[in-house]
Amino acid sequence: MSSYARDVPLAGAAAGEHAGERERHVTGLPWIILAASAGVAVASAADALSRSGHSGGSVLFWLAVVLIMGPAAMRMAAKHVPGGERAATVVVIGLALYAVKVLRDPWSFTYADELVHFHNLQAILASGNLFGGNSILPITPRYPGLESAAAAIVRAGGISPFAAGIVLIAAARVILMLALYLFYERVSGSPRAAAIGALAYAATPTFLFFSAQFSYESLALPLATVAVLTLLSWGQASDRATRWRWGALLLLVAAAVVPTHHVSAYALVGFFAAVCVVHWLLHGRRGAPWAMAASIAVLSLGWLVFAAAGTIGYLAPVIASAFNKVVQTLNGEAQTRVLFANQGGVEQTPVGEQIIAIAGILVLALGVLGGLRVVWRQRARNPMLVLLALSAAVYIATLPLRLVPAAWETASRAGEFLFLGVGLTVSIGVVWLLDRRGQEPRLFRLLVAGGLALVFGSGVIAGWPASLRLALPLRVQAAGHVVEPPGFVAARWSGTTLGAGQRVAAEDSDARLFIDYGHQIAFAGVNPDFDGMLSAPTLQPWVPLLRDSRITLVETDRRQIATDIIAGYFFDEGAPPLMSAASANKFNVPNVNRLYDSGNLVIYAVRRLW
Amino acid sequence: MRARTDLGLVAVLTVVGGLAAALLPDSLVVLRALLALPLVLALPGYAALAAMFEPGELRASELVLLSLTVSIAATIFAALLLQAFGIRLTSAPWIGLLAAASLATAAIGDRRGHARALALPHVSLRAAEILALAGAVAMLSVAAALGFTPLGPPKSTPGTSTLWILPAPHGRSAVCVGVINQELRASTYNVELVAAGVPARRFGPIRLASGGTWTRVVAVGSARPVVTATLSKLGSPSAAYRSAALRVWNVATRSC
Repeated sequence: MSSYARDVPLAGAAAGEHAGERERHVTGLPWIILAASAGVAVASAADALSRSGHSGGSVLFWLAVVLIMGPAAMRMAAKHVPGGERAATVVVIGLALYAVKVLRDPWSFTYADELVHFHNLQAILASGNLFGGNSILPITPRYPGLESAAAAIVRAGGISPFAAGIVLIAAARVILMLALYLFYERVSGSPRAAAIGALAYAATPTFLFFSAQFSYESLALPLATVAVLTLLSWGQASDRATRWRWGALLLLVAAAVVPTHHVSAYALVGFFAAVCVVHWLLHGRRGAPWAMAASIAVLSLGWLVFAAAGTIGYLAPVIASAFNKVVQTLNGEAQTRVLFANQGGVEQTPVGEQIIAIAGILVLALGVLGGLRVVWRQRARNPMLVLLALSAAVYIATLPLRLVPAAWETASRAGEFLFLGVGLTVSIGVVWLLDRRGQEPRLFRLLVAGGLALVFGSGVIAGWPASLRLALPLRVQAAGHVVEPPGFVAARWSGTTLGAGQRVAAEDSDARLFIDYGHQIAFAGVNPDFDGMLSAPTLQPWVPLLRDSRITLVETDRRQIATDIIAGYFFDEGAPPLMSAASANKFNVPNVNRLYDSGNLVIYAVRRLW
Repeated sequence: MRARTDLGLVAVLTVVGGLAAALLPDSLVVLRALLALPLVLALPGYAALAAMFEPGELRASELVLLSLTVSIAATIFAALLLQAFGIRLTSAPWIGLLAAASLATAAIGDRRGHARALALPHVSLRAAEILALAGAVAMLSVAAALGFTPLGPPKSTPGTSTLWILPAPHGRSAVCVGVINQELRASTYNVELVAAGVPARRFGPIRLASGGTWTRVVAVGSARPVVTATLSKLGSPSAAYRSAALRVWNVATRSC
């Protein structure tokens, strides 16, 4: 027997579950679809209340979460459910949760990474070539998998680039949920555990919003999950011909991850290498996927060297900073991050939500412990199972990193990959617990559903600022006309009147609007230090920066929120906190044109300065 | 390729999708998308899997998953291949390559005897389940209607007004001056232009609906003087609400 097919922890439990396969009638699915759709409608109502300035949206949002997750989790906890219904259910829930994200801003992309990748997509459509430029995140065009697939959808279907992005990420969501279900099913041997595991994976803090954005990781992670599934199929293949077929498929899918997203490709290499090591430790070297791991490593390295050499320069500072901050925090040299606070460290998550978040983490940890206990007691020697159980343990161990400011994002992003193990381990623990009860009383299934909803809610609270969970005013109706926020209007004006290709220095959020809606080459951030230039009281020290970057336009935006790449795109509510007038007005000098004035936001033509 | 098989259907859908992508105009976007998107998202993968695996070797859920995945992978590889050969990523070569790959792999699958007879899936739903699905459609329609309908802003949302100035295009000795009303109600404005320190033109009252724009081209003389513009709102005509200045005529305007 292949090492990957042995020690299937729930094989005994699955025997009873498979009895349901003979029952062809899909009794639960229509009702789950109805409940999930109702949840989407309630979430959309919550967004409508929020974007029009009414209260009560938050309560509706959590009701939507319960409607989407609750009935599905309860049904999936039942023993005799056809496998097809389970697979369809996890897909329905994945798409319903995606709809919650899409309906928050159904007219345009508003997430920081989306705006960066949307520019790359537009560039491919305009030029007909890959590997264009991106002044905000120069590394992104070097990984054109996402944008090329979206561009093909535009070319074939004639739909808008925005719609193509929505369709592609929806397809990625279907891929992710189905891949999780089939993967967990193969590892655990239990369709019930597979479905619960796939739903538990949705509790990844980044799942609802961050991983649903039009960004390269949102496609690469599902593709990588399929690669892991095909590795398992390859390992479990009973004959040489089948093994070859799965091997070919594995390389094909893994090769698609490589030009799509750097970290996902490296995580895949790391995962395959870890499988090899665990296999070696448990069963010896023979039979481990050495060749597969090496092939994907070579592909990733080849892409890094020949197509995306800037990746190291992009990733290294982030990882080094995270590592240094961890060391400093452990030594007491740096302050810990304030939990449940925004970038500025200001408390903003309501106390009730903080309690839900902590309770959800405790329930998740209990689930992981339960699953680890099952795996441990069975003395499992399936390398994939052991590795995933270890991943789950590592995930729990990395949670304290969220207290370290610079390591928070790294820990959060690593969680998306480690959660592959969490989903499986939790589901093994849950099914073991349910089966101990024998008669699966409704109360226990209700507890499972409640636990999953709690853990999912905890992930949502931890993964996205509370103030941005619901829609903010973006396209507003005013006296029968639709009006956009000032940043959008300024960016469009620059493209219409001045043409594309102006080199613009702007605050972080405005710069993203300039590259997408003005088709300009916009610069922001601290490397080089455009943030410093815009906030400085005097102009003269910054003239060399303008010259070196050949800046033709500077947009000053006094609203402090313009520096926030998550929240800076919407209409203000009330008078916004402003930066000093002196910083903004320093460009108002004789050899600079003040071309555009909308109050807080002013555009200067600065070519004569250098 | 044998008709009435899954691979025969793949071939037909591929040809129809390719023709839809090539021939249907943008005005028929929904029909074009329905017909042509499978060529990117499903058909290349399904055909490739049929060439590799025997019928029944993959479960339905695996077939759906891998068809989507391999199709997207094929789309990415097709883009890289065309790029490597210096071919621009326009519809004809890209969609043509995907269609050719689908047809070729479907033919291989057919030759290997992997085609399956077409059969409609058997789905039996009770009346209550049909009602549940109808309810789901209604709920999603409500969700879409709520999401896509622009609503009035929160009461505390401030609007704004914009004044802009640019040299007129084509090197003319004139300036373009414009106003954009981003207030959340109709507003009335006055615009004053001063060239070389001397009042040049005054416009107003200019009444603009919310979201409305106003633009004028104003000759200022061949000396290309410094031109300043001020915007005032009705009710406070003496207070400059916005100001813009063209001090150096080194800006290339595309249109105004």
